[in-house]
Parts: sequence; C-alpha cells; structure tokens
Amino acid sequence: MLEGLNLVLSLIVLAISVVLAFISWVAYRRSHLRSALYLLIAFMLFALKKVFESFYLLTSVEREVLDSTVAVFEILILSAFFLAITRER
Amino acid sequence: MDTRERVLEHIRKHPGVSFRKLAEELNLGIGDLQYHLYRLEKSGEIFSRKMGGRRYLFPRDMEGEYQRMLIAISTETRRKIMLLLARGEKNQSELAENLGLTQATVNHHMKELLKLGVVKSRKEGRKVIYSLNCDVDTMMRIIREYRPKIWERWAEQLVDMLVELGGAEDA
Repeated sequence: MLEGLNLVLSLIVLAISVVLAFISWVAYRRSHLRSALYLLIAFMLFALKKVFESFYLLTSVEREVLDSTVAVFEILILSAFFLAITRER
Repeated sequence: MDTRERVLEHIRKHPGVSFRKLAEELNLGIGDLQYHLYRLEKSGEIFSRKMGGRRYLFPRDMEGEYQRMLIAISTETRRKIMLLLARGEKNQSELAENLGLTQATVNHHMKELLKLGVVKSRKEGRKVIYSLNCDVDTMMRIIREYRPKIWERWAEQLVDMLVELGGAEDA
C-alpha cells in the first residue's frame, strides 16, 4: 500500500520536473540565457534522480550504491541551481 | 488574377499576416488556402513561422529581416518595449519607468534588440535614445495576433525573472 503511494508520488514529482525542464528549455531557446540552460540541466538531473530512486523501489539496488548516487545527483542539481542564480551579466 | 497570385500579392502587401486572417481577408476556404500556401512555400516564394499558436506568412525575399523581428518579440518584456517604441523614441530610464523594470533589465533587453538590428540608438548628451529600426506595421500586426500558449507565457516569465536576478549572460 505504502509502496504504491510512494510510486504515485514519485511519478507526480517526475512529471513536475519534466514540465519545469521543458519550460526552461523553451526559455533558453527564446533568450539564449545561460542561467536558463543551468535550470534546464538542474530539472533534468532532478528527473533522472527521481527515476533512479523509483527504480530502486522496483529492483534490488544496494542501499549504499543508491545513497551515493543520489548524493552525487543532489550535488550536481544544487550546483546547477547555484550557477543559474549567481551567473552575472 | 488567379487565387494563388491573389494569396501571394496579399502576403507581399501584408507581410506577417496570420493564416486565419489571410483566409478571412481573401474569403478562402481553409483547405483551399492550405493548398495554395503549400505550393507557394514549395516554390520558395513565401515562408511561414509558427509562433504563439499562430502561423505567420512572409514573402521569401525578406526572410532575414522578419526572422530577426520574430526573435525580437519572443518575450513579453521585449514586446512591450517594441510597442512603447512604436509610439515614439524613448531613452532607457523612460522605458524602465513605463515598464516598471530596473534599468539593468531594460539595458539587457535593449542590447539584445540592438544586436538583432530591430532597434537603433543615438546619443543625445548623456542619454541614449532608442527608436525602432524595422517595419512597424508588420511588427504591430504580429504582436496583435500573438497569443502565446500557457507554457510559452511561463517561459517568458522565467526569462524575465532570470534577467531580473542578474543571470543574463549570453550563451
């Protein structure tokens, strides 16, 4: 029951991150702003992270491998957000 | 004059006319018009661009100029700037005041519009005065018809937000 709910929530999070990545892509295509490109990367990484985490629910990936991979994704996502915000003119 | 010639003549006289408007003004059926536009595009006499849910039609010989114009009006703030300049030349602080934006944001957009060549500038004392450097009638026609889709509006808002944040460096 709880696993099913987790899967549904993960799918919602995945859908939202894909929509945000699409909006960032449209924004980048129109403006060629690097910050929009970093946002696109951040949202895509977020979607990938979610896929990886959900994949764990369905298969038997080792817990340590999952934790390390998720941590790497999180560092990359936060770095992309940091670059999107701090890039100067 | 046959139908195809009438369509071509109308597009030459009214570059940037939308498909819907063209069908209305020439009183042509959708299928009929689609066929003639397909033949005209294939023969290289016209080109069309889809933007904001509308298909705009242009004569082929002025492709570069209209491409630049379409890029120029692809965000809400730039459309507002172009509309303000269509009413008369303005300096940066007047534009910022009218739009409720910071001068830095306006400066970023003006640099882009100058680069595209749709706006020109001249110095008057310490002020830089901007004016339009494109076919105003065509630009107004496109902007009037422009109806961005919801995700296009969100993308435009995102661009404005990023420019406000100061993340406006060209890729």
